Amino acid sequence: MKKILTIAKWELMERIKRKSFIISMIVMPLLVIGFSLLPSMLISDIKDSPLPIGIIDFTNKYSKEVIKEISYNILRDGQPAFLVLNFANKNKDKSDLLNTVDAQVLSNGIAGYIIIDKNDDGINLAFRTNKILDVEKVLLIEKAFNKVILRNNLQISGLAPKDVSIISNNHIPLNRVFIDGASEEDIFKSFITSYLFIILLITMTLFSGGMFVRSLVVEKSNRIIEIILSSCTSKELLLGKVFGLSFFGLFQFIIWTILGLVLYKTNTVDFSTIQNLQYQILFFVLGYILYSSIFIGLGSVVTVDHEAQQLTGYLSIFLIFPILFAFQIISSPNSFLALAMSYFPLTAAPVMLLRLNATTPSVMEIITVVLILVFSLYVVIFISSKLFRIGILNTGKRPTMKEIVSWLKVK
Amino acid sequence: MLEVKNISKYFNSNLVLDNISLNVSKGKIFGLLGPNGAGKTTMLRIILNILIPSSGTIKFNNSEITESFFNQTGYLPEERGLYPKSSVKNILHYMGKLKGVGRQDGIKKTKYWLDRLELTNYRNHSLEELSKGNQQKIQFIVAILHNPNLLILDEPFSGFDPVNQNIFRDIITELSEDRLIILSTHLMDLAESLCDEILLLDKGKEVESGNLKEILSQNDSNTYNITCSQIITSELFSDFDNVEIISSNAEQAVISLGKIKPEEFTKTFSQKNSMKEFSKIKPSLHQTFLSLVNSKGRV
Repeated sequence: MKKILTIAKWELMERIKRKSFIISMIVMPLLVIGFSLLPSMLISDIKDSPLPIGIIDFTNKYSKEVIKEISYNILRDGQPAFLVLNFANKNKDKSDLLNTVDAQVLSNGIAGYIIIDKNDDGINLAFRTNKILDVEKVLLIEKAFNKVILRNNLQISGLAPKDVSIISNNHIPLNRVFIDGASEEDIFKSFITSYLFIILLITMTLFSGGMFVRSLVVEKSNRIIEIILSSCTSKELLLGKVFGLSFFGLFQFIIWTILGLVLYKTNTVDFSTIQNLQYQILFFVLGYILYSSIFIGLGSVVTVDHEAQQLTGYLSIFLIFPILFAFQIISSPNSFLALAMSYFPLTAAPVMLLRLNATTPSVMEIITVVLILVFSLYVVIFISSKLFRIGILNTGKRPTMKEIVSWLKVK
Repeated sequence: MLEVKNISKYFNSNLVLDNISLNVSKGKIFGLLGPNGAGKTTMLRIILNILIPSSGTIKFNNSEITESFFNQTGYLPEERGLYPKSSVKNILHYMGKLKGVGRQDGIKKTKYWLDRLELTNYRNHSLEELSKGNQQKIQFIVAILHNPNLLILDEPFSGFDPVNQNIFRDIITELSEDRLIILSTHLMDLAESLCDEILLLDKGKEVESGNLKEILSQNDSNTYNITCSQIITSELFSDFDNVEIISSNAEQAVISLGKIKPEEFTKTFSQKNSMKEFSKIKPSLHQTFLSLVNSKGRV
């Protein structure tokens, strides 16, 4: 045990004294702050300015009313949500008019414009733009227009103006209410903050794992490994490296936690929206140790630096994979996809980090995933120790798959 | 006492060591010699417990090797390299600690060896700042810092200039007084001047082993330098059946007497010729190595 700790201490101290680590300790907190502030920044972005749009009414019947109806939409700060420019059809050729207004859109004078026209089926409404606009705002335009049409139709059908007003204004908005008194803002922040742990897990694992594999290649190529193996068993060396790498991860985690607490206490960032923090930390740690052990086992097989980089690349695919499905996982945290990826050892940790922010899985489910990760960790360390014992002395040519299998068979 | 008995080692189906045995006792330097690919490094790794033999046993002081054996061995591998970015002091403390040296003891021993090898000023330097020769010295200190009972040196002189070779030859001789030393080298002159016992390997098989002096005398080809007052030709030796001129240069020659005793030769030869000088050429380890490998190992 003494030798394991000696190796672990050396691995830790050698890494934290490196310039690359010191730089990463500056860059990573900046990323953390960035990700923490992003939700608030995105939320504040909703309090935007009025959207300039245009309107062309080829029917010459609805534009005034539509503009009036649209003007009822106001932003949180009381400003109108839209500024509408009416491009009146003054006997101008249709295509010329469209070209003129298109030019306004292309020069960013307006975000787009409403076209009201007649066709064989009746009234036709379109919004012409070259930008991806907030869907909610586009829906407001559609709602305003349909309200005008409804009012118009009711009047045609002979209803009294008073009744028309009652019917057309009888709109009850849908209020979204969140359990535990959370606001929509909180949920949105939580959604964005879900990425924080995953980004940390990926960055830490790849940074530390990559650094470790490269140093292992150096130790193998300059034969330090032989001197160390003449001082301890390969199992002690393997465990020393696993502990060293874990201590290294823990060290980074502690520094970032302290930084997080300082930012939280000074109200710079708000971590209160992170749900199930204790489970998040548990899966973070398990995921980190599992990947570190895989790096150590496979690191003993590679012989040159570029192979080490390739290896880091392959492993990063499994870590990054869940991010591709992040939206589906967060919006449906109990879907088949989310559950399947939670039970697959290589994606379990990052997927659980995502799910835990969107839902609270049952205790049974959490225990099952933890057991899967712990068992996988045992299997990985068992295989890694076999690969490590022989692979660590292997230099020069890359071993074939047949050779690697024969290493695993050695008792 | 280190007893290595009937060690064989297979890598997959390749036999790299075939039933090798050796004994090393305290106070003697044991030379493990052989051409490239002979299996020397594999043998050293097996002795150090880095590799597990396919068959055979190793005993140290009459006991099977256990984990405590790690702290009793010192190893200088052929291919040198330590942590280039780390300081000399940290490397020595780490390596010492791995060999069970306590902190205070480690500081004391580090100071002693750095002083002795005139490296004290480099104590806080990173290894890559040192010259190649000084890096070699640090590697040597790593091997001996914990005062091992068994010291294994694989090509200890490679990379050293003649001055440093002499310094290390003296240190190795000094260290051999109270411990076991196994030395593997291609430098036959140095091996000859240092080793008491040798094992000559070729293609994983034993070619020769035993006391170096005995091996040299057994392989003595009975050759002499001879100087006469006349030009030396084969006719001068017509009275002898087995005398052969190996090389000649006017009045000087190197001759092989075959089975003839030198006293008999000088007595008969001097009766007819005037002989100015007659001296024995001692067999060198280099020649013996070559002839043994060629005759036994490679045939």
